[in-house]
Amino acid sequence: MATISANKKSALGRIAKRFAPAGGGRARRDYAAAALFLAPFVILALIFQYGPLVLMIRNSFFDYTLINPDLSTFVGFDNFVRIFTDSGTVQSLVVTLLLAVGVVVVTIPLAFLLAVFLNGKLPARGAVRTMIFLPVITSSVVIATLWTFLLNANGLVNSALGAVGISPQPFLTSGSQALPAIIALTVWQQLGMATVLYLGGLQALPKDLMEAARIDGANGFQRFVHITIPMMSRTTVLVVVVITVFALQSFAPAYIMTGGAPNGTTNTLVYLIYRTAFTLQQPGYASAISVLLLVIALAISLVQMRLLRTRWDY
Amino acid sequence: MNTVRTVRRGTRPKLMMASGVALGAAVTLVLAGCSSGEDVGPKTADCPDGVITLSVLRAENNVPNDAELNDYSNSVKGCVKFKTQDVPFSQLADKISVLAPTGNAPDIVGYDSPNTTDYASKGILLPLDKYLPAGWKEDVLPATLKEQSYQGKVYSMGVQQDVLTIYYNKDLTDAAGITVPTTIDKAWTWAQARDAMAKCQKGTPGTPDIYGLAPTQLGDGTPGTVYGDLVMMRSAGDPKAPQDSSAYKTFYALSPDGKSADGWLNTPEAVDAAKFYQSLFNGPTAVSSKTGRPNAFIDGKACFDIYVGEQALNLKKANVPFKWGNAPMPYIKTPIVQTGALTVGVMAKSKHADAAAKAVAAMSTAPAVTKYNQDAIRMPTLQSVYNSLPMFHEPPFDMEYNELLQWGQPRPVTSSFSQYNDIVAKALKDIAYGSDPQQRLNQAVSQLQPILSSGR
Repeated sequence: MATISANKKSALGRIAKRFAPAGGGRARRDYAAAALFLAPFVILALIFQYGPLVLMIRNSFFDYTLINPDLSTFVGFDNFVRIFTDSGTVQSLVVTLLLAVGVVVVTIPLAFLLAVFLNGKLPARGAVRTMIFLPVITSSVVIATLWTFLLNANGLVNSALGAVGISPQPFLTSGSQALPAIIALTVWQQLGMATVLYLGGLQALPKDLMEAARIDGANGFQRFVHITIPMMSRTTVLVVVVITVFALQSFAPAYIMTGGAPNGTTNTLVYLIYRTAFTLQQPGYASAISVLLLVIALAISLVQMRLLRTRWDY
Repeated sequence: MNTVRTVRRGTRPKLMMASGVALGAAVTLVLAGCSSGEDVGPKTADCPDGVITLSVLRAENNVPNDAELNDYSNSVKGCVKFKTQDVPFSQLADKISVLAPTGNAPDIVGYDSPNTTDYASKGILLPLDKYLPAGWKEDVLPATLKEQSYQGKVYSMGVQQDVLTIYYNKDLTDAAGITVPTTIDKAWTWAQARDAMAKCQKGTPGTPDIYGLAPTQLGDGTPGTVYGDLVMMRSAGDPKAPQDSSAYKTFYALSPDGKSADGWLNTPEAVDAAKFYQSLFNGPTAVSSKTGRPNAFIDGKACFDIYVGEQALNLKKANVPFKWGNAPMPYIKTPIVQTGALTVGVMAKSKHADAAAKAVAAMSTAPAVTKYNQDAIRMPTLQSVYNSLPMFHEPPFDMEYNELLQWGQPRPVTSSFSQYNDIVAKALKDIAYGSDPQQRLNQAVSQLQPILSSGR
């Protein structure tokens, strides 16, 4: 053991020495080079990402209009208080959370099963994967427009239902059907992304573990339940977080398909933020809702990562 | 080890150079985004003040169009040129709001005229009074003058007026035995119109084969526009009733100072009208659809269609295989059409306000506006232009012009029009989809009231 410890220390020392900055002028030159390499991207990130973020937080404490931003009034936390007293905003918050839950609950099992299916030896596997991934890279505007034509009163779906004797459904105009319709659209759009992430996870599973289980007499179902699913928990965390954040940012379906109607049942938070800032001319309040959305997205992601944290490593 | 050092020595300068180029590009990108280009060219014999380039923000395919700008540029020997930026109509108001306070505001803006009070009250638009030709105020349509003025000053002269009428497929109405009125003195009430639409409709109400009334093409193609649908509720009012009566308030849908919707938008008459409006989309009385179907009328799939004068041009272009005509807008108690169309104004922040105002004034008066109205087949705002264009004295335009002259009212005038428009439109859409009219109008009023009171 003593020999092993000595060897370990020696190895660590060598690694530390190799990666430690050299002394004197060379260290300065290395830092200067590193700074130069990073500067373009840091400048752009500061100006176009972190700058607006700081401004948004600052603006959330003011009441003003876009047209006359100079006439702003400091209102402290009033905008944040208003979020929880304005029934429309609370409804929007609930709608957005329902959308996120619906999308995650439907997408995760579907994507996992699809990935398992695609992980097998299929003919034209590449083409099938491309087809499944295609909605992910298609513009959200195009997808929302397409689904509008599908789900309209005289759309393709109702025509198909009519052909089998089912009366037309008010998919986009009924308070009970509009949000599920948007969840279905979002699942369809994001399924490819989740599937590809799961597929990557499945292909990284250690084959020797499966082999060992097979030798121990585990059948396919047992290997799937006791090895594949637990071993995929790390990928599941990633997929759940990515899909949740995407669902929280939903905008195009509300903007293009429903306008938030009927009765605000599809009024997602990002669409509300857009309307509040640009149409209702309350960018301070819109900024406060944006801050809340940021906090919610971070909190949900952290909770999900905590709850779904992996006990496995490979 | 020596080899490694040699490689590092050779690579580092190249990497640093590449990084320096990237840094330079980033800084240039940022600076370019923050700077504005030179907008005055060198002085010439024809242009002693130099060639001025005016920036123009407009809705796609709309005023001021390229032909108008080119004609004006030629008329001043090229001393004024234009740099245009086009945005979709649905994003125009947002774009103006964002650009207005910045240093990149355009010189000239094509905008929707009901926003005039909003923009003028916030100092976005330049008053054009000193550029108005003699007799202009007597020549312009009264509704246009009212809509495009604020506190006694004129902020846009108008180049066109849109007006809604009901287009009808004569083959279908004849087959259904319906005689459609074509003069405003014989206009239908809404009850008569709905009966005719129901009689002409074929198939199941809600999802018919032939619609009684085509799904709207206004707005996003679904029910609920202030321009197209609020007019029905306003028609339930009476401008001749006592000013404190609900009938009077219903007709205007907003207090005269633009500060109150409570008691104006949610009157008993407005609620009853909203119930009637709802019946057009729901149950056995449905004659239209809650969801859009573009071109239903042009495709011969609808008996009637409520749309602006542009539809006449669309029908001619499509060379439709059926006979068509147009009827005056139906009403409940008082005939009314709401005015307004895209118009042209000058931004108050323009560095070339005088040149921009002269250009706008020239494009808004004869002969330029006459040519525009004739070429684009858009209803004139100037009565002298109307008189000089025989085409507008024939059907279907003569009836449209009579509507404008005799029934024309601006949309509710307020410095918070974009908010009024959005909130009321959402309420109307919800009512069309089945919400309780009284409850939904009251909700809209409660959303609007703080905004209107603060004069945002």
